[in-house]
Amino acid sequence: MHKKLIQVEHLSKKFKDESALKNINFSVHEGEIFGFLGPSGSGKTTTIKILTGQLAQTSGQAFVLGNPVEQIDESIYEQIGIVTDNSGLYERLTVYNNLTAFAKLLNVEKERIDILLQRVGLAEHKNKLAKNLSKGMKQRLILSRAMLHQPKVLFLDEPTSGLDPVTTEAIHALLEELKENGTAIFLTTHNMDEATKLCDHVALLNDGLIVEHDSPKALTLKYNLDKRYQILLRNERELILHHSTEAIEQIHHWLLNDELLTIHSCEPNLEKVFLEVTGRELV
Amino acid sequence: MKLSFRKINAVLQLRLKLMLSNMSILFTPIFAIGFVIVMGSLMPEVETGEAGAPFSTSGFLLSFGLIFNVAIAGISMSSSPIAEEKEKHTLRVLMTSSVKGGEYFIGSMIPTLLILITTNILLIPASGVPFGEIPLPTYIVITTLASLVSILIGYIIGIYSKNQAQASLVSTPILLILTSTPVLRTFNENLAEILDYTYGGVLANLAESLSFNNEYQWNVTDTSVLLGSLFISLGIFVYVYKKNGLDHE
Repeated sequence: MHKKLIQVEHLSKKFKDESALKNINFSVHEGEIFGFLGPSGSGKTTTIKILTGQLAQTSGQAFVLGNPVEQIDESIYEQIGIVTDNSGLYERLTVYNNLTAFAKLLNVEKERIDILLQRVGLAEHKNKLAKNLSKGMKQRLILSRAMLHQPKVLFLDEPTSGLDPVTTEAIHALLEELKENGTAIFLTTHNMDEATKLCDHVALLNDGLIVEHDSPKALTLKYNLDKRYQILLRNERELILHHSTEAIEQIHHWLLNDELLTIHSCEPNLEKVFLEVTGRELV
Repeated sequence: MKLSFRKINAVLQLRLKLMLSNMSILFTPIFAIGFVIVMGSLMPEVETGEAGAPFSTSGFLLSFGLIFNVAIAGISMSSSPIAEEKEKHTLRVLMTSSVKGGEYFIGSMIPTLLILITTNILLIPASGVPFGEIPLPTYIVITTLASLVSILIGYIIGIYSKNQAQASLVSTPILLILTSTPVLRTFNENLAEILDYTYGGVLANLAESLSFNNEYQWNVTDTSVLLGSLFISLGIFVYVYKKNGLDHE
């Protein structure tokens, strides 16, 4: 049984009279990627700030690595990595020096820096000043810094936003590798393909409330309300059939006569699930 | 609070790299030395009492350079980096990378203090005062303690400020008062007496005795004022830090 590395119980946060989080509950286990999905202002960043000890909750409890978030101290920070939109870089230092500073702080061997730079495609730019990097390169550097010490828990707020597909793919591979090594990854993203591909579980957040929580597959199956099949026949005819006795008989007939080339179930993607549950677009 | 030497060293090295990448932070101490050298070459060399002069040129230049370096450089070199780190969101990254406030402050303080001490010593030959005329250990102890007070004041300003612009704004009146201490003391005897109980006043006392070619005498008042200023600024610093944190939400 994998250990629970993040546990959130009845967590609420109010800013003056406005509720940013309303009684949310979830847990993230060792070696799990947990996606926190919601539109801007739904409470994703607030949750990360509470879980990383940067903001106090109004009520409820949250634990990271078994410690209450109110008691997060340096020993916990040594075991977690954080990437948020407010993660700054030392712009006047080179890519390499930005990482060496944190390698020294976190007692990481310098060889790890070269490995990471290679993995995120920044090896050729290691002597460039951070201020001269593109937005995507800066994001890759911030990610490398958060992964430097192979944290037990990694908090990522929109980590691949603005990155090209090749780099995104490389980052995904790194995250998968961290997951294989037992890191629990708490990920917020707008990218539904990313969530579907990477996440073991997702929570859909709307106005500070978790409205759905399950694996991406289970959610898409749950909201596959009008079961449909996309059919491609040998005569290049494409058609959509709604689930019915007649449709099953028709498919059976095509199969017997070897007329069926492809058949796919048309379950909704996470974006459509979110729209179905909340009536809102995930933007 | 247990501090890690490795982390203090890491912060120190980071701070040195940042200083080397932005030499403008060294402008004030370099300016203090440069100004003293330039003014020394422009001003006529007079000794105390010579042609009715109340002070020697070299002594005056040293006192000017000293107050400029300790007050202006000390406060700006410690307040500005904290404010910049807050503005660029790097301070929070450090804090969430297991650096304790104490480790950050000590690591950041060491290079600043070393630069201030070195400048204070270099000001002696720059001003033309012979080393033999300076009570060197006393000079170093007093200027170092005063530099420490300035650094702590800078930290308080840095903790309070959200960005560099605010840090400059808050620093200005403090710097104005500190640098005018020697002049203000000449205006009014009562004011002079009050100013004697500030660390700027002690520095002015030391500078004044050097200006008049007098031997500086350690006294209970100056010692108490210096140590008092150090403890008070340390107390305010700890209070402000505990209340606001380094970079709190």
